[in-house]
This record gives sequence, C-alpha cells and structure tokens, in this order.
Amino acid sequence: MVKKTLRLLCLGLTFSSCFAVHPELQSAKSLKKDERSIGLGIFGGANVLVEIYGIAGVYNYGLTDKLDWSTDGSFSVQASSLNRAFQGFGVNQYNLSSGPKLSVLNNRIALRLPATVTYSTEDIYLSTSPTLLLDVIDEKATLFLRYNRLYERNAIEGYSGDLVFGFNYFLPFYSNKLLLSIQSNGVGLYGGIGLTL
Amino acid sequence: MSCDRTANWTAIDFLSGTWEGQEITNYIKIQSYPGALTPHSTDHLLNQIDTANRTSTIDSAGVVIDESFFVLLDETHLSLSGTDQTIDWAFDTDPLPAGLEPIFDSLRILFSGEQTFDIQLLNRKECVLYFDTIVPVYYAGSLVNVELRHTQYWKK
Repeated sequence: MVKKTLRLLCLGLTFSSCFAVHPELQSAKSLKKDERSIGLGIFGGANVLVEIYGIAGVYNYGLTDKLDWSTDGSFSVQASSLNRAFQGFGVNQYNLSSGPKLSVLNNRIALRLPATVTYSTEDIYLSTSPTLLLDVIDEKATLFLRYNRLYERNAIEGYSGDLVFGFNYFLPFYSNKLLLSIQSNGVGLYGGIGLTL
Repeated sequence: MSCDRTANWTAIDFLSGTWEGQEITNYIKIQSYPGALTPHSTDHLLNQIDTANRTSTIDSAGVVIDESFFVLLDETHLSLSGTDQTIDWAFDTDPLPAGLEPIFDSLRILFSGEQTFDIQLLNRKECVLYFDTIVPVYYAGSLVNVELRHTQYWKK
C-alpha cells in the first residue's frame, strides 16, 4: 500500500518533472577577470517511469573577479532503456541556460541566475533557473540547488517548475579536474561524470 | 528450407501474421507543457493480424482481450476501428494518480472510435505504428487540451 501510494505520488510529480536534470559541472569558485573555463560531462539516471541519458557542457567567462557569465547546455533523451533510445523510442530534450554567476564569501558560495530555453517534442519552454552553489570539504566538493521555474503554469497540476539538488565531488587526481556528480529532482536519481578544463 | 521472397511484398503482406508485443510508449502533454513519456512492456501480448478478414486480435496469455478491424489506407497509413478494451492494454493506467483519470476517460472514448496510424516501420520482423491526437478534457470546470503521442512496437 505504501509502495503504491509512493508510486502514485512519484508519477504525479513525474508527469511534469522532466526538466534539466543535468549536473552542474562547476564549483562555486569564480574565475579571474577574462579567464575562461569549460566543463563537459555525461549523465544518466532514472525515475519511476523512464531512464534518462544525456551529455552536458558549461562555459564560464570571468567578467570581474567575483562575477562570471555562465552558459550551460545539455542534451538528454528519455526512454525505457538506452537500447530503446537508440531505436528511436525516446523523447529528446535540449536545454540552454545563460546568465551571471556571482561568487561571495571567499568564493565558497555562488548564485547563478540564468535564463533557460528548453526544446522538446517540437515545443519551446522558457524558464529561469536560479542555482545556488556551495563549495565544501576544502573545495573538494560542491553542493548545488537549482530551481527551474517555468514562465507558465501547467493547467491541470498547477506545475510551474522543479527543484534539482545535487553534489559534485572533485576526484583527487588529474589536478582535481575530474568530477563525479549525483543529483535528484525528488522523483528520480541521476549521476554523471565530468571534466573541467 | 524455405525462403520468403519479399521483394514484391506490399504493406498488407508484411502485416499478415502473428506479432509479439514489445513496447508501447504514450507521451502525454497537457496544453503544451512538458509531458511524460510512459513506456510499458507489452511482451505478454500477441497481435494476430488476419489480412483476409481485416482483423487485429490481441491475445494475452491465451486469452483474447481485444479485437478490432483495420483498413490499410495506403502503404504508410492504417485505420483501426478499436474497442473500449484497447485502453486497457495500450496504457498502463495502474500507477496513474486519480487526478488524471478524466484524461483517460476521454481517451477511452477516443479509442472506441477510429484512429489512423502512421506505419513508421514495417518489414518482415518489425512493425512500428504511431498516432497522435489532441483530446479536449474537461478538468475542474475548464477545457484542457491533452496531446497524446502513441507508439506501438511489434516484432515477429
């Protein structure tokens, strides 16, 4: 009974929670002025209905020592399995976010305020994705919290966005440029591996 | 040992026979908002297509659960006159929240009528049928458009 109730709850949320489950391929630390950085990664995971696979990238440019312009993009596909995705039974989604990233408190906390465009099933969705990044464990890990807020609400469920929370761990080799990421939107669990350059 | 020569086969020749269910995906979007892909396995189903009588009979573990009539409109379009039972095997409604039931009530009415499927893939071994539609649903006193994208995958 509990399991069924949980499934119902999950599906109710899942019905509209398919947005932007990609990892944040960066820490809270700001770049110096005119510096650039790139992060690339792959991710995957599942919720109660589907599996999701994707690739993601982020490009940051230092506007000042505390303010970056941060742009990320991702491509993901939802399907019952990776095999089915390759067979064409999946639903593709493209996300592009761009906006400022302000780092404070000795670069330990950062707030991104990007605008996001999502393209999926021949429709475009506009949203904003405020993201909080918090560096912990001597900058070896980053916690992040991202709220993707759609500009319009869903008529039936009153849905207007979803929250993704996650954790990046920078592995102690290759100059800490390799990261593992785990994130969830409350209805599914996703993981990824990335490289920051 | 026999060898089927399919060079001159048309869609009706390929359709004939018994197909094993693989998967049905229903992608449901509510008024252009992000929707949900709800795939479910149909490997317990057999679809016996009788091209002489133009019938499609769905069998689950030896029990006939649905029968419909079809008309092959052309090589890439198939019209199926379904029954009320179709919704029961074409959708996994079991885990759905009660709040979405009005959508499925409307889909039941839709499926009891006639649908025109695109034949996306049809050869000796695989068949992929697809149709999409927009169903108006009365929800909490207002009319909401629900878009359904329905894909059936069968194998011989």
